[in-house]
Amino acid sequence: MRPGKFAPFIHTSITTPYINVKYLIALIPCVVYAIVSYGIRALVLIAFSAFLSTFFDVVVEAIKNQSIKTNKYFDYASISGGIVFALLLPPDCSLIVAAVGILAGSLVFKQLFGGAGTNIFVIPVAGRLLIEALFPSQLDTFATPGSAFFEYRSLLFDSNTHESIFQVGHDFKEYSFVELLAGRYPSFIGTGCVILIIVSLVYLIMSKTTRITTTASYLFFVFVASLVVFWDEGILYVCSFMLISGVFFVAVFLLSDYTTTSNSFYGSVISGIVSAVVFVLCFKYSSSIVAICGSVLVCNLMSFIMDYYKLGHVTLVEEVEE
Amino acid sequence: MDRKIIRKLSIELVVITLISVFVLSFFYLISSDDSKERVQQNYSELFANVLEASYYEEIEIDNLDDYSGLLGVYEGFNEDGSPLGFITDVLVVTDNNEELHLLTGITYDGAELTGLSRIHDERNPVAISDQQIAVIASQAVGSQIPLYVNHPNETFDLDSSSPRIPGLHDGIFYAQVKEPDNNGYIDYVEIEVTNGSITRVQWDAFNIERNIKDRIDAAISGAYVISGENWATQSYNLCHALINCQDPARLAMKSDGTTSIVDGVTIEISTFVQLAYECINNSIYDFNEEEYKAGLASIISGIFNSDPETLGIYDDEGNIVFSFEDYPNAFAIYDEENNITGYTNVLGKVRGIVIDTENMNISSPQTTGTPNDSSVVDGAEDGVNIGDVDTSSDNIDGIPVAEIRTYIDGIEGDFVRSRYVVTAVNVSYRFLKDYLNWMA
Repeated sequence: MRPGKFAPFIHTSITTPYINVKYLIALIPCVVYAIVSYGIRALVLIAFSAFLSTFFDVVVEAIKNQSIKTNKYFDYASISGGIVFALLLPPDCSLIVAAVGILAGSLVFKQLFGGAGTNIFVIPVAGRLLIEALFPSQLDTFATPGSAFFEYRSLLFDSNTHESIFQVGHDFKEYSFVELLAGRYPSFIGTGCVILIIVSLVYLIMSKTTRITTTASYLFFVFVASLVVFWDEGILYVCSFMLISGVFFVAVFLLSDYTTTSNSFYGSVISGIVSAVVFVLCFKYSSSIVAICGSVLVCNLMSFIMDYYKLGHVTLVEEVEE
Repeated sequence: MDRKIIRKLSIELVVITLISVFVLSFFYLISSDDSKERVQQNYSELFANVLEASYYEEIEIDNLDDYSGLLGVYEGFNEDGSPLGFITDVLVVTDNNEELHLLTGITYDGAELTGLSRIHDERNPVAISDQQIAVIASQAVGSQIPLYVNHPNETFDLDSSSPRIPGLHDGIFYAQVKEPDNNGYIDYVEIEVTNGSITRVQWDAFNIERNIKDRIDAAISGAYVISGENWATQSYNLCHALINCQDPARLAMKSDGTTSIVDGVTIEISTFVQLAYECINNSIYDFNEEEYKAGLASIISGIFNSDPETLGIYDDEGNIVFSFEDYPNAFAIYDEENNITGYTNVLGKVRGIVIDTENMNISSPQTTGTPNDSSVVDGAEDGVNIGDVDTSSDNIDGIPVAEIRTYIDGIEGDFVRSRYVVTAVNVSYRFLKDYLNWMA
């Protein structure tokens, strides 16, 4: 059965490729932030990741004799996946490390779990978590946004250089809310500017191409869980934590996908709660990227289980009996 | 997707991009004051005990990699905007990959050290306490840079374990100054090397007026009088000290040209040190006294187009009594366009070796006797790498010995760790010297 042909009597412009293009446009604010803050290396990482992700998909589909030209189908998911992967990288990540992540995501996590449209994980997240496990020391430096715009050597060489003295004990409590909103705190290249992520969210909502339930549930319960875990630090700390932790990026771009999140309301809420708890605990006891990726993968794993027990053959049997 | 949808999506793309740029610019603008205040607060916390200033700015350096170990440079300013000095962020990496991360403060015009501070973020820190760094800081702060650490004042036994300059050829080596001093004396040093060690040193001077005795004889007879010990005695003590320590650097010459570690020597020793280095260099290149004098004579002959005997430049002792005062370009090095690019010495002139006489660094030996160039500092990816702490070369941390301005005692009984701290200061000096085109 070829993709996109399940209901041939329904004619709508809101096809999978259309949704993915909308998703791509929604990523533009984060891409703008990445390039403005981290310069050439961010631009190259994003372009390289998008290209490589698409290239691997095309090659695999060609090998499987499902060429794009024959089916006239290309859903742009590989481009958006590559961009999302790049946006989760630190600015000093080398191209080789990025390539390993893309390769692992595209070939291992995507194809082994069914290929385009049927994989259960958010592919860029799985690839990102893998390279974090393989190359931890090459992904642990964060440049100051707005510095070294023309720096490119880190793309080619191991950037395991000594950090700036201003990275030592880098404390986000020193930053004002406006600075945190504007993305002045060093972070992954696309996750730092909450205000632009909100712009993306508004665009996705207005274009009706996103699921908002998991997003809202996740954000709310991250806030609640953070209040519990970081009770001693106070509410201002929690609010700052929300702005720098990447939780908004996760909520808007990684938990709103139609194929990897729950279809039902309650499923979405429960997935959001569990992912939020996983996120906060991982952030406290592990690292930020483990928190980001772990919470998404937990949500992915839960979604199809939740949908299976809530919808699917149970509901159909009820309807048939009636 | 039809054309209408594609057009719509394209418009949305452009609009989203413009909105993003506008929103980001707006928020950057309104957060810039907060950001500047935060950065200055951070700077003050880190730099205040190294160089106190009203505000600081980071200096963008294109060729930072040329100064391995240098991580960043900041400039401190007064309230009125006048520059106060510089703070350098330096990472020293030792030969066993231990790290020492220091901030050094240096005045803007006086090349004085204003402060030393450690940043405790090393992956594999050198075992040196803050108290020990404070000891070094108390000795060095307020002094001119670059620095070096005195060796302990002890007698070296001239046995197989004596610290020797490697690569010396056996023989007698000689060097004399090009111009006489105020009293008409042309200083010379002669060293004898046996089995690779300096075994005899003589420092004396003959007068341009040939009827005046040599300085040692004049000192002994009372014709040449100086303060302190008799000049002949001081010369003897100094020569003996060089035989003991084998390296002029270990005489610990201070910025005023004197030394405090050789008993009884109160005279300026800069001429002696300079000539001793030249003799050692000649030994490395196996350019003995005979060749030196023949070379010097040929240079003089070249100026006048006449043979030495006719010119009468030799005295009864066989010394070449000649002043190059009126011939300043006799030892000049010219480029292809006949511009003077530097000056060499007799060895350089005779053998065509490029020798920077100011820095005494040998850059292209073309004859036998290639020197064993044991560099003190070997640059590495992430810091200045000390390698073997070797003081037997004629430069320290890439700085000519003659430029060293201050000798400190360092941490008692711990020359090596003291040396690490001093290296950080000297890296800063090298950078600022080039950046400001500045001689301390």
